[in-house]
Amino acid sequence: MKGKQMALREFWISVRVAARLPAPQAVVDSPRLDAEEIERVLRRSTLWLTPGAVAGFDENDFSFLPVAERTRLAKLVTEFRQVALAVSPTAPVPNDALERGLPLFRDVVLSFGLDRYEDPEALRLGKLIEQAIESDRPPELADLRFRTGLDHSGDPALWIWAFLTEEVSKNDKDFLKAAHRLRAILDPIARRVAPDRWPYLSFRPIAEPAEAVEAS
Amino acid sequence: MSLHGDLLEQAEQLAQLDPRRPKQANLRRAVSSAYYALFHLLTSEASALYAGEPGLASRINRTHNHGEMKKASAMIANDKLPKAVRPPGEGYTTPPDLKSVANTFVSLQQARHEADYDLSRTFRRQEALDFVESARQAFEAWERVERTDDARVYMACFHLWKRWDEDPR
Repeated sequence: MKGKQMALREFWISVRVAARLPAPQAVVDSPRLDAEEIERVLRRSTLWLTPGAVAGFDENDFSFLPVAERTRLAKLVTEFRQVALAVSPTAPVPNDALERGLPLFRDVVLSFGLDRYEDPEALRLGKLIEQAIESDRPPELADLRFRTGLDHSGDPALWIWAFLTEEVSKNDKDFLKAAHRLRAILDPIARRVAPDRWPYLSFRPIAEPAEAVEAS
Repeated sequence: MSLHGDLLEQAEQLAQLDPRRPKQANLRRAVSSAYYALFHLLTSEASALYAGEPGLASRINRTHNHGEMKKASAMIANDKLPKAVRPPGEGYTTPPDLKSVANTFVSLQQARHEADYDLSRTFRRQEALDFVESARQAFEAWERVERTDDARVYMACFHLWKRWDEDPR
């Protein structure tokens, strides 16, 4: 398992470095990344159009993904590699190669949900938790974000931020009731999926604050 | 009112201040106060296990350690008892109210740490309110469970979990 995590980490870093996305702020505060935004960043430079951008990919590292999602990712990486291999590292990137490679790499980046999973282990655990609640996903749950690491006393931890819908966040009473209900659902699932990590759950409204959040 | 009761009330007031544009300082202090409310509730009860005289109880109170209390709480929240007090031949299931208290203690301690020291992230008002509400629910759960043996063992674990968890000589 450790070896698998290392390989997944290598692929994660390859994609992250190649995409040259802005250094992440805390994942819970990071702005949403959509296809348009990623494309805008990728068009600034073509340095990502190299096989190295997907180095370390092994479909077997993604056994935690549903089959369809895993197959799609493998297909994207294979097709992207083919395009990247045909590009000379010393000559300007031909336009048609850029236009073929860009949507493929964009979708690889999107599949990682870099705004939602702060690290590769968070991606693995987050996907497993999302699959566990998928069939019975509470309607007030708008989004989830994940990170892993050590807590303040050095114990392994999994942070989960649950974002609640605008509807349920309109008044505090409904928000707190929904948070209470969701905690009872998410906590046992997180403990089952990641028994060696303490699950730290926080709840937020999905809507951005009406006025900018004051700096810390 | 008691210190823990006042701290809980203070946490609630801070989380409600300036609802349109809450200050991070107030939200952070709200989360921190919510943790300390629960901390002081539990340490005052645990100290009273050993002493009724206020002076002695407050000296015992000062011997509590956040890290040790977290370890004990994590153990109890995960349905575990230290080896020495584990019922022979069977598992242990923490009563739900006690589990809720222990769970909230661990979670609030981490939130308190982030609120006080982690400037890389922001707190949202309803997020802070939810932490305060968790503390309030832990207070209520504690009231229901405080007179049970399970609760007394939990409090004794604040000082003794390590000793009780060692292999017998």
